[in-house]
Amino acid sequence: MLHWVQYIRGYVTIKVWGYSTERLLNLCGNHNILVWDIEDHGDYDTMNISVQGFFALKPLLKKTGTKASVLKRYGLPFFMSKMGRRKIFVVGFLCCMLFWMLTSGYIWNIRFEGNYVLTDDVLLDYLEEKDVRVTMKKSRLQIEELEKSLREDYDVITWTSVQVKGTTLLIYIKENEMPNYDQMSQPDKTGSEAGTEGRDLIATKSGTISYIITRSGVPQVALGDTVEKGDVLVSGAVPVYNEDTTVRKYQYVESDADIKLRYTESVSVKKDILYEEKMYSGKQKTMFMLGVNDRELNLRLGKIPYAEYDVSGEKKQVKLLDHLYLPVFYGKKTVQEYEMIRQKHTEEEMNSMMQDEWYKIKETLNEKGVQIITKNVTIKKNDKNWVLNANMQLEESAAELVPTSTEPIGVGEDSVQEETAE
Amino acid sequence: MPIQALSNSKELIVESLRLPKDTMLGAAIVTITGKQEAFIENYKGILEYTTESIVLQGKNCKICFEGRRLSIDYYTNEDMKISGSIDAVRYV
Repeated sequence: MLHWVQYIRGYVTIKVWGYSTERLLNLCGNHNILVWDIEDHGDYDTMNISVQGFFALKPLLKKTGTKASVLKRYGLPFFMSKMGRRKIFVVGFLCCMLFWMLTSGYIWNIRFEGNYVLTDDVLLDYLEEKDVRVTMKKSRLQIEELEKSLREDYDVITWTSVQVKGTTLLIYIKENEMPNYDQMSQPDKTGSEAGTEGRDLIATKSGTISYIITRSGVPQVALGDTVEKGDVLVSGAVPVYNEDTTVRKYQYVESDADIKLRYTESVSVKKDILYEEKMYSGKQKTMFMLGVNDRELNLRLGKIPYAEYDVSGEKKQVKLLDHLYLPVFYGKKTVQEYEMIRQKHTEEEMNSMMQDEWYKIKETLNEKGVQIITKNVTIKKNDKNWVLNANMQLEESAAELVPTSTEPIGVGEDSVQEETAE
Repeated sequence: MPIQALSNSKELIVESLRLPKDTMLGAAIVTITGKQEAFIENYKGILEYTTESIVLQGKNCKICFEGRRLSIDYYTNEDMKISGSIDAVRYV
């Protein structure tokens, strides 16, 4: 405590020499001038004295016939005058403090934790809508409301916690791990409501009917029929007949049937024997990169001396402590030279590539639920390229539900008939 | 002789009234902590100061501190503190 007082008021170390330093000490005591750390160095004594005490010392020195000189100055008054001489340093320091104070009032980074179903991008877009973004003021952030709106707008989120740590906005989310049955059953409900209007099954491909079992609706095609894409396979309008086999009215139902269509399809894949490959020459250059927000500045000497090159690298964001992210980036980039070289595939390579292609075709068909009934695969080879031709007979359930669009003509005729009967 | 009697009677009064001796008689109080530190109150002044000895003027006697590397930590009208290696304290 005493040290602080001494520091704030300022003190000096003085060197005292002359006839009787003891007498000077006594006089100091009598005049209530505090001296401390008095050391004897033989010819002279050194002691610490407050600045005010030093000024009051002059008549005493005269009286005792001793002399004093200042060795060192300590304390705030001396520090201030020193700083007065270093204006630019002080201004720089103050600017620095101001910069930190201003920038630490903004959000510089947003992080999510615990989100699996909702991706970061989705959440960022959502926050953008809510006017929460990087570079926004911390004071404008309404944490409670953000937590609430996150829970309300996303059913999958069961718990949220929004925190601000330093300049980072941390959003912790707990997602509902159980599938949401309410939501899943909703489209079905709307479907059944639309079903009162009736729904047809139509062909999504042209082909021959190879299999048909109708559970509801009126089949419009029979086994072995050839249909075009868009043809109605099962009608959702079920006619109700009068006794004279005329149609009285239509009952609308949602068609339901297992229908398989067979059709032929040919696929051809061409692969060139010649190909170009990147050959890295091994020459590379490293350059440093600085960036602020989206702007980047590459620090390098001269132009890149390569005709063709790849640039790769990584950049890091400047952060202070753990969470104080600044919009400043730095990093290293590597420029690698390469040359495009024409290469020729060997017979074996071509063979395996063709095999792969065929395998890919089969896989994609499999994924779509398409069955291959017959296939005829040929490979044509010539000097430049190999061509794989696959003629396949495929079978798939290519039917789609659409609302019964056209009014069955029978209804109108029917009503006319009834009128005439009356 | 009468002075002696007077001082004796003063001592007697101070003793019987249980008044603090340092203020009434002007006796110096010397507190020595171990070998390193001495704390002195109620002295008149400093007579001699070197690294080997510090001589203080009390009211009735001189107090002489002898030792090595003696230095005065602080010095005011009321009290002072000596530090260093104290070998002897003598009342002269």
